[in-house]
Amino acid sequence: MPENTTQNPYAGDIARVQAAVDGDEAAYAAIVAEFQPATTRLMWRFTRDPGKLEELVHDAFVEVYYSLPKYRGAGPLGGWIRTIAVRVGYKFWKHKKRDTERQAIHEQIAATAPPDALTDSIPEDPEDAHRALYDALALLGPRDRLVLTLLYWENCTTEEAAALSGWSSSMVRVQAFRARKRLKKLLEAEKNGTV
Amino acid sequence: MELFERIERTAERAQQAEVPHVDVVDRVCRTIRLARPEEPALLDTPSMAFAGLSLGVTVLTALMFMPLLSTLLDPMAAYMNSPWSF
Repeated sequence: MPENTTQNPYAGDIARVQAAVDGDEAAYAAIVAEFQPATTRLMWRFTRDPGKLEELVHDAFVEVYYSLPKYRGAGPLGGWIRTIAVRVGYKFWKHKKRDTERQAIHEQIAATAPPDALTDSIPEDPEDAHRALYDALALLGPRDRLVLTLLYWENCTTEEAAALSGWSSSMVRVQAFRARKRLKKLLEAEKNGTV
Repeated sequence: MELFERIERTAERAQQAEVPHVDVVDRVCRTIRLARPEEPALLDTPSMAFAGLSLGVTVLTALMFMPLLSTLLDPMAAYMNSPWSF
């Protein structure tokens, strides 16, 4: 924790974090209450299961709690929490049984999604749009999925995506290029019924 | 319309989708409370009893080894004091 906090524009955040680190449970509860709506919105990109969503938000805030001593006030607390939440979501994707999940997604698309949701038209209903985008990105592996989620869904710039994922900007660019190519191929295969 | 343009438009619309309400404040607080190690009370009765017992065992062990220590320090005196000395 920096000693001179009066110069720092995030001195308020530093003070709140310090209180939580010192064992003030109410201070941490206030941090969770303030940032949980934004974190929930972000985690809704990582799962469409409400039960899993709650678990992910919980895990993100537990992770944040253990990382509090590392907060230096270099940026706003909300942005710092967002970075940790993205990494928790990415870890969740990585640890999922990918093949089973992909198989389920394929079946789900075939059974419930509007036909060719991303290949022919843009769904009118935001819920349908959310599901169509989620299902399309779920066809990809975690790395590709993360980079496209951040760039397209979270509207991040390459630099922001790099900061959130912990990768370099050039790595994000290369990953995004490959991910776009793979997604296009997968969606075309999906359309032609060859998957 | 190009695929990624459609994805961008879909993403814009998807951002308006309703997010389920989640409240994890209590759950998070409970988790961190359970994970936080409780500070041990240094002077409670079981600790004092255990400390006393440990001290007693240490002293007894030291007393048991006293003859050995004196033998090591002065082997000749130990021999002269033994029943086998001439």
